[in-house]
Amino acid sequence: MHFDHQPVNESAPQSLASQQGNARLGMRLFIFYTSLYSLFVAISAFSFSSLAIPLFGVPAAVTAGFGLILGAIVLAVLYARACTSE
Amino acid sequence: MLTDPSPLAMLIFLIFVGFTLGISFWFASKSKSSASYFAAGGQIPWFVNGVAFAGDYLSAASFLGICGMIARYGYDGFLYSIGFLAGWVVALFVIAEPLKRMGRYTFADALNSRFQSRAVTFAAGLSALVVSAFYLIPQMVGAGALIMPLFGLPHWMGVIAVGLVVTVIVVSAGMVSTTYVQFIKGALLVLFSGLITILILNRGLTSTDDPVAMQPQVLTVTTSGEKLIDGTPLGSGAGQARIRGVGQLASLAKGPNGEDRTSTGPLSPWGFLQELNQSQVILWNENTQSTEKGKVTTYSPIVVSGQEVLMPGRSPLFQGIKSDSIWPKLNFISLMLALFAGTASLPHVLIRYYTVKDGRAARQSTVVGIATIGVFYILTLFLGLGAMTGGNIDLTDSNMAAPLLARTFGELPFALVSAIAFTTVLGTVSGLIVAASGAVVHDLLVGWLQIPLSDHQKVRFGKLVALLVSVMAIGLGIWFQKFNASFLVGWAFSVAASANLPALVMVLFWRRTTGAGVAASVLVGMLSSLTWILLSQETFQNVYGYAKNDAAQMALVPFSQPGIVTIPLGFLVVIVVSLLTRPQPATENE
Repeated sequence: MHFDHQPVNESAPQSLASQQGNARLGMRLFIFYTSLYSLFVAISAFSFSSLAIPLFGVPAAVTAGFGLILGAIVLAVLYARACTSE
Repeated sequence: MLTDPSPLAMLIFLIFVGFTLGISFWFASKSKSSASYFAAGGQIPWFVNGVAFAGDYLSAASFLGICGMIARYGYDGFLYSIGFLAGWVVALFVIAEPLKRMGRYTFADALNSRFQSRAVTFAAGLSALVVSAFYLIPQMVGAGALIMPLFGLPHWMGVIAVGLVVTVIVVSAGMVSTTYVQFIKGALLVLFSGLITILILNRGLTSTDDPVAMQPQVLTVTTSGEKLIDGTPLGSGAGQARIRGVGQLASLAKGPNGEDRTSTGPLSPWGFLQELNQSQVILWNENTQSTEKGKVTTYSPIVVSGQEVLMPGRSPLFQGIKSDSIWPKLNFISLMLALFAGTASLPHVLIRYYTVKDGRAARQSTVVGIATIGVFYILTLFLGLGAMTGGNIDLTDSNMAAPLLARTFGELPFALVSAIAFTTVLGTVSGLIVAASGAVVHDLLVGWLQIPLSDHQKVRFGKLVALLVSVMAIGLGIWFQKFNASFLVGWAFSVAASANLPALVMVLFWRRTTGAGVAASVLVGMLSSLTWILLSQETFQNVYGYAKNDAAQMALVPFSQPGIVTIPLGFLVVIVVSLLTRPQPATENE
C-alpha cells in the first residue's frame, strides 16, 4: 500500500508547488505537536506521579497543559507566516 | 437554585438577545440564494471567519461544562481544554487547505469530490446529521442551566427558549447571520472571560473557618417529585430552604514570615496557581441512594491539598487513571484521542471553510481561531478555580458554575456573563442547525435521493429542516438535563472522529481510496461508536436510569469512550474495502 506524501491535488496546476510546500510543512508540524500531545497523554495514563513534579511552583500537569495550549498557538502563527500564498 | 432572579440581570439579558436577533433580521435582508444561506456565499472576511470559528467552537461545553468540571473537581476539566485545542492542530496542519479546495457547501461535497458517488453522499450526509444532533444535546442542556438562575424558571423552559430563538435566527438568514452572531459572541466571550479572570485575580484567595462550610447537605427527591434540602422543602419562601452555595479554602499556606493568613490579596495569574497549590481546598463528594422516601443524594465535604486539585484524577470520569486497572486508562486515552481527532471531523466546523474565498483565507482564519480559542481555554482554568474558591457553586448543577461565579462580583457581571453564555449557546446551536440542514438538503435530498430542487426550493427546504432539527434539539436537551455538558461533547467528538476522520484523511492522502471504502468507513465508524456508547456503563446509569452498580454489571463494553477502538476501525474499513473494490473513474455513479 502506497501513501502519498501530499494531499491529493484537486486544483489548478500553477499552485501545485505552493500547495505541496504548505502541506509538507503542515505535516511536519502536525507530527511534532502530535508527539508532544501523545507524550502528555501517555504520562497521564501510565506515569501519573510524574505529573506531580513541581515545575515553576505548580505541578507539572499544569505547566504541561499551558505548554500544549500555548505551543499550539505559536506553531499556528509560525505555520501561517511560513506558508506561501496560493 | 441558589438565589432569586434579578430584574437588572433579566433586562440586560433581554437586550443582548434582542440585539442578536436584530443582527439576524438585518442579514436576512441580504441573504437570498442557497449559496448564501448554506455557506455565506464564500465571502466572509478571514478575520471575521476566524473569530466566528471561536464563536462556533466555544460552545456551552467549553464555557459552562469545563468551568463546572474544574470548579467541582479541579484539573480534570482542563484536560478537555487541552484536548479541544489540540484538535485544531489537525484541522490547521492537515485538513484546512485541501478541504477548502475540494468542497462547496458541505463535508460530503469534499469527501465525494473524487467519486460522485451516491453512497458516499448518503453516508456523509447521514453522519453530518447524526454528529450535529449529538453535539446539539449539550448545548441545549447548557441553555437550560443558564435560564434557571437568571429567570428562576425550570430547566425545560430554558431549553425551549433557546430552541425558539435559534429557530428564528437560522430560519431568518442562515449562514451569514449565524457567522456574525458567532463573531460577536466569540469576541465577547473571550473579552468577558478575561475580565472575570482579572476580577478573580484581584480578589485573590481567602480561607474560611466557618463550621457551616464543612456541614454536609442532603437533597431528597421524593417519590412524588418534591425536592427537600436537609428535610426542608426546596424554595425561597417561608418554611423553605435553598441548597447552600459552596466553594471555599480550608486554609492558605503560611506567609513569608511564617504567619497564618486568611487572605492573599491580589495575585498574578501564576501566583494564583502557586498559592492554590499550597492551600487546602474543601471539595464535595456526592453519593446517591434509592430509598423508600425517594432518591437521596448526600453531598459530603472533604479537604484536599491544592496540589491534588491541580492534578488530574479527582472526577468520576478520570479517577481510574490513578488505579492499576488498564480499562480506565484506556478510557482516558480513548477520550483524549477523540478530542484530538474530533475537531477536524465536526461538520459545523468544516462548513466554515466554505464561507471564505480560498485556501489562504481558510488557513488564516484557522490561525485566528486557534489563537482566540487557545486564550479562552487558558482562561477556563482560572474561571473554574475561581468558582471553586468563590463560595457560590450549586452542587446540584455543575454547568452553572461560571454564571454563579460572576454573581459573586455583582448582578451586572452576572447578567453580562449569562447573556454572553446564552449567545454562546445561540451561536453554536445556529451553526449546528445550518450544518444539519445543509446535510439533509444537499446530501440526502438532492445528492442521494436525486430530487431536483431549484435554488429557492433548497433554501425553503433548508429552513423547514432547521425547524424540525430545532424541535428535536429541544426534546433531547430536556431528556439529558442531568449530564455535564463537557461529558456529552466528548461523546459527540467520538462519533465525529470515528465516522468522518478516517474517510477524510484517506481521501486526502491515499489515491487508492474508493467511494465504496469511504461510504463503508463512514457508516461503520458512526454505527460502531454509537453502539459502543449505547452499551456503556454511563448510558445504562444516566440515560436508562439504572443504579451505578447495576449499570456496571449490565454494560456490554469495558469502558465508555469508544474512540480508541472505533477510529482505528474506521481506518481499517476504508483500507480493506478500498483494496477489495475497483477505483472509480471520476464520473462513475454508484
